[in-house]
Amino acid sequence: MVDFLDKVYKRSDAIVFRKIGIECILVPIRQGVGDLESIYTLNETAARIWELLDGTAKGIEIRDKMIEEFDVTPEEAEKDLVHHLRELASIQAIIEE
Amino acid sequence: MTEGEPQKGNTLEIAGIRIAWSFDQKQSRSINHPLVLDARSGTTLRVHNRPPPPFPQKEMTFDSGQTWALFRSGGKLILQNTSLHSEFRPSRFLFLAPDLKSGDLYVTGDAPQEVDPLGYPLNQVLWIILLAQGRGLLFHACGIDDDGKGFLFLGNSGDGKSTSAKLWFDHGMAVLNDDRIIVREKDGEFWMHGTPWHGDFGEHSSHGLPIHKLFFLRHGRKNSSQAKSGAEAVSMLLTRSFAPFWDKEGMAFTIEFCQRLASQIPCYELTFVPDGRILDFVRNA
Repeated sequence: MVDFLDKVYKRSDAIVFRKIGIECILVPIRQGVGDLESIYTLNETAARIWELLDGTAKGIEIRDKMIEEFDVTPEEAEKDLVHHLRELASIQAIIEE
Repeated sequence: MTEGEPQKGNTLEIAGIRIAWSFDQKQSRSINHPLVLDARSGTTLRVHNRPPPPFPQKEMTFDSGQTWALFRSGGKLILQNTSLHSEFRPSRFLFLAPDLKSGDLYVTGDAPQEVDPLGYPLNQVLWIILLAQGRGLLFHACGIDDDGKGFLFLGNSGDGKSTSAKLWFDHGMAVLNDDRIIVREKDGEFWMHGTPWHGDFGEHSSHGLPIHKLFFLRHGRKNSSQAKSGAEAVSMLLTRSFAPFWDKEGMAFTIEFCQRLASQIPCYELTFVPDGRILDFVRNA
């Protein structure tokens, strides 16, 4: 967990995204049909994390923003953040700076 | 074919997007076509019945894995009618200029058809590319004209598009197409347009009309509908579209287009039993 909090991530250029209400849709730009069903919808928390991944903020700073903006404990914020960062990393939507 | 053949002379117009072509001089004599281009066309093609000139390098853009591939070479966008990994050699290459306003089609083997020298699947892929320039989107959908009210039924293979087309047709309504529908915006309204690219149900029409409601189809044990909106509806539209997944700018337009479509037109997930009762159920949804 500490790893994610210490690192800085940015959004991949190979992702097209759009905020829709409180959610966000991500579509990877790709060169083949293998993963045509890969259209991702981020919930409110994940969408806010996505917005904050600007390539300058460390994970721990994003966690602190989440504590400020959402009604969550530091532990809950950290758990959510790490979960969403792992998910985003697994689909190559974010890149470590 | 029921009405409004989209083909006329050396042009093909679908959903208000027109391409024109002329055959190169040797061939034009043999099939008696004059070299006259249509000034109203968005894209003008010159058709050559010979292999393409050699191209040095291929920068892969998209490979369907089966029937087509798109790549860049020498500043042009090139579309061929096989995968880059296919054991078969392509028989058609379409070289498009960067502005997509002109191109060269090279055909080997069978002579190109006069009504549509591109053939499947290059015709559909060219329209996908042209629509992605801020013009609209091709959907995996069945379009019905219910006496002026447009119902759009979206679904992937097996979801009931052709079944729906037959049901509505049997009750006297016009079928725009049972498998491929183009949606475009006109004067602030979303219009659906028939295409020539039909599925199992052959009746189709090239006309267009405003969309009244849209439905995401599912077979079910009873007729039921559930409203869909927001990101969920947008995601359902995208997974039932032929989106330009290789084109970042085109994809950004496509998502925004689906968002506006879902916010303007009532969207429902529809499970249905394939009998006549579904018609009134849809009308009253």
